[in-house]
Amino acid sequence: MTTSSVDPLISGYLQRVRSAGRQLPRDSRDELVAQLEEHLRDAAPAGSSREDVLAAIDQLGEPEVIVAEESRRLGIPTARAGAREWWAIGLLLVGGVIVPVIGWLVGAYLLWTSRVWSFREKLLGTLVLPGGWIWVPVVLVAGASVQTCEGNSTVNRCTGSATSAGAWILLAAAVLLPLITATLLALRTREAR
Amino acid sequence: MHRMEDPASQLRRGVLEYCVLAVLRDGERYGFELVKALSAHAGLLSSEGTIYPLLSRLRRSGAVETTWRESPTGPPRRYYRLTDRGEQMLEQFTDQWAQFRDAVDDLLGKDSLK
Repeated sequence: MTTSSVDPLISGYLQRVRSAGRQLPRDSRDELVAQLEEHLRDAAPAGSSREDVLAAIDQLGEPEVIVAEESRRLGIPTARAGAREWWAIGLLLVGGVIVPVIGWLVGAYLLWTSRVWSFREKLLGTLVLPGGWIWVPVVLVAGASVQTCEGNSTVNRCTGSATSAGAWILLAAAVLLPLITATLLALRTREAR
Repeated sequence: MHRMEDPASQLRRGVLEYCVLAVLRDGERYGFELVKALSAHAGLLSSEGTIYPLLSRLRRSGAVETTWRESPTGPPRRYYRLTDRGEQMLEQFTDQWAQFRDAVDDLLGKDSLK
């Protein structure tokens, strides 16, 4: 159902409900969002003041509270983050460095079997970057070998700034991308504790 | 981890669904109307939004049914209506509640005499 005239405050709130309810079965979540949307349309009809809309939203309550109630009514235990989730984050980041490939794969397995993260977050955790920090030593070794090559040539072209700038960008990406992903996953984990 | 829950919220959890059925006894209502009817009684609803998971559950268990009806403003609204089964549940609870209330009153009254 699309409601083009919906106040951004209302759509923002409904979006928070959707995101808090990512563990709910899809039809339950859709029904809940539709019910709340309908409620807000009645509680704060088109043309309501910002204050009225905020008051209506406030009276509905926190999305997490409503979703917890829905989980309870459905008999779904609320997913709680535990050691497993922290292991997943740790292994995705450094697992591949400690035990190449396998360490990271175990992390990915833990990621996909956890109920704390959404599908999108799992996709992000897997694709950015597969292997985690394994790419840091790879970039370093590759960069060093390029340097050696150039050093061996009679004419010293080591100053080629394009190469080293590219190497630095790759290195930064190899360090930062997995770190950002791990941070996002960790934030969600802390929320679900 | 195991913090004591507010006793009012425990009580509410147990009886709220029957209060919803009681409101619907007088005829079908849409969500916002129902919420207003309940929140007119202080202490029944802590956060209005939690009524909707309850309504969905009552629908799944066959105590209420929903119908879509045109609304003067915007898209159609869903109305909640008591089913025969819901009516039975309400009747049964009304008896049980009377017994329960008397028992608790009795005990609380005795305690206060000591």
